[in-house]
Amino acid sequence: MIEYRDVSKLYSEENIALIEVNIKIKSGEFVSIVGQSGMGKSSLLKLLTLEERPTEGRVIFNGVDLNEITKKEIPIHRRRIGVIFQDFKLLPQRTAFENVSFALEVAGEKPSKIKKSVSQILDIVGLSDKFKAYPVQLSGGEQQRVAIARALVNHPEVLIADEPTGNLDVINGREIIDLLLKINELGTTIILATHDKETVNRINKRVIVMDEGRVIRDQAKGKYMI
Amino acid sequence: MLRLSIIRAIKSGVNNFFRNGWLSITSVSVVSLTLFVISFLMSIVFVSNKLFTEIRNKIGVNVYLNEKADKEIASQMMEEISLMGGVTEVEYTDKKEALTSFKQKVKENDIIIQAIDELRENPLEDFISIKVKDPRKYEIIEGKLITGEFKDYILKVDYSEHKTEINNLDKILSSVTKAGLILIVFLVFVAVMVVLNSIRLTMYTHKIEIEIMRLVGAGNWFIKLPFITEGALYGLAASILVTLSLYPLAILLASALENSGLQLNPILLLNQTIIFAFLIHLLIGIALGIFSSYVAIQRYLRI
Repeated sequence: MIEYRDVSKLYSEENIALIEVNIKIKSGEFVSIVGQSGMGKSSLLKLLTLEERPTEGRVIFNGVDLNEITKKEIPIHRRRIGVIFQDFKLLPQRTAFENVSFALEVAGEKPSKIKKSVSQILDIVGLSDKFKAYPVQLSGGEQQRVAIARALVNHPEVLIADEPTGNLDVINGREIIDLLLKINELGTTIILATHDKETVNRINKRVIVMDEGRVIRDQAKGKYMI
Repeated sequence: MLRLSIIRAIKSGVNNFFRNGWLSITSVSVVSLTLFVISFLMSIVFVSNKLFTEIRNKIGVNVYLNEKADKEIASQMMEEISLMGGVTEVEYTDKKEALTSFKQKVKENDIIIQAIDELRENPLEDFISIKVKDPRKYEIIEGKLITGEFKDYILKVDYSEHKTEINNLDKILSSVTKAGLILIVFLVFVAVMVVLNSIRLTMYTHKIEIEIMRLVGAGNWFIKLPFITEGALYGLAASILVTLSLYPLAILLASALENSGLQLNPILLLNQTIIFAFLIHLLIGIALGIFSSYVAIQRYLRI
């Protein structure tokens, strides 16, 4: 489903983010990408959302070479991928419901469908009683759930989670990971970037370890080891 | 789907305008200031043009006739003068009338009245007064008269006495217009830079919002349209404000001109031109708002 073929990314001659990365991710997989900060995890994910383009090599998504996707087609491509971040990236002036419905408005969905889909997805992430709450009225864990709901509402084939537990306490962090596992069980491919050892070990699924822009280990049921 | 997207984007722009109260107030103030400066300068050019036209209309040239010219000759001359290009007014005054009107003018001044009475004869001459549209014509008319068939009946033409005044007036008028226009262009340029930067700062606060929009797959136009709508609203609000603020200004100007004896009523003038003024403000304001928002947003849309 997703394939990185000999991908290198250079920001400048001194600043090399990725070196000849080769990764294949199958549909429905849960992959953790681990490594210290600045080892290339985020660059790897940005190539998938087309925030960055590879200097060399190709990224294939569902049989399409992402190098061929034009600037105009990028928004459509992004709707097929859900993304969540460490800092949640919610719109502070919109309620939980509006933050999620926004992703559907962007896609031009009808109001009736938006109402139905958003209610459903907020139920799934466990926020059925927080529709009208603004981000500032929600806990960190709840905010991340809103972000997950927003990422999922378009039914993406893959969900990218970039350090999703970074700003959360242990209990909330665990709950978010459990939610991601549940989403994965329902069929969505998940790519999780993290440097949190405990999280990775608890998941007990495929782990790709990055160091200095290279893949140094790729194990089907791995632990976080460097 | 496209219509739905456009409506949503515009709605979101309107919401942003009201939600970001302080930012909107700042931006509207800057656009208002710009419009006000433009409007003020345009008014100065307009009013000074009007004033000068009026003053110019008061200036005329008199052709004084000698003893040989009787009424018959005078009316022939008037006919010829009125056939000359650009002449708007030709009027004959005989010396009796001239004396009566002169006495009327100086009736307060006993010494002059006394002096005139002491003269047994009327010291004035018959004259034809001429007014033209373009003061530059006076010289040509004077030339034609003092060399033409009536030259023997002419005592003098007082154009030369007014020559410098007329020319000066013309020079001042064209300098005021030119300086006004240059100032307008310059100030508009400065104002556009100020508006642009102030809206750019506003946009900076929307940076995260734009990032999130991109993240969930919003197309460029879907991102731009709310901000462009917001920019247009800045222009709309500013144009209403500035148009209304012209009234106090006109009242001030009216009281300043009250005793000037000029036939110019700024309030009446404003009443006549208010819709035009509003439309001009609206056009410039909205164009300025949209342009600034568009340029400001552009830098956040890379990638």
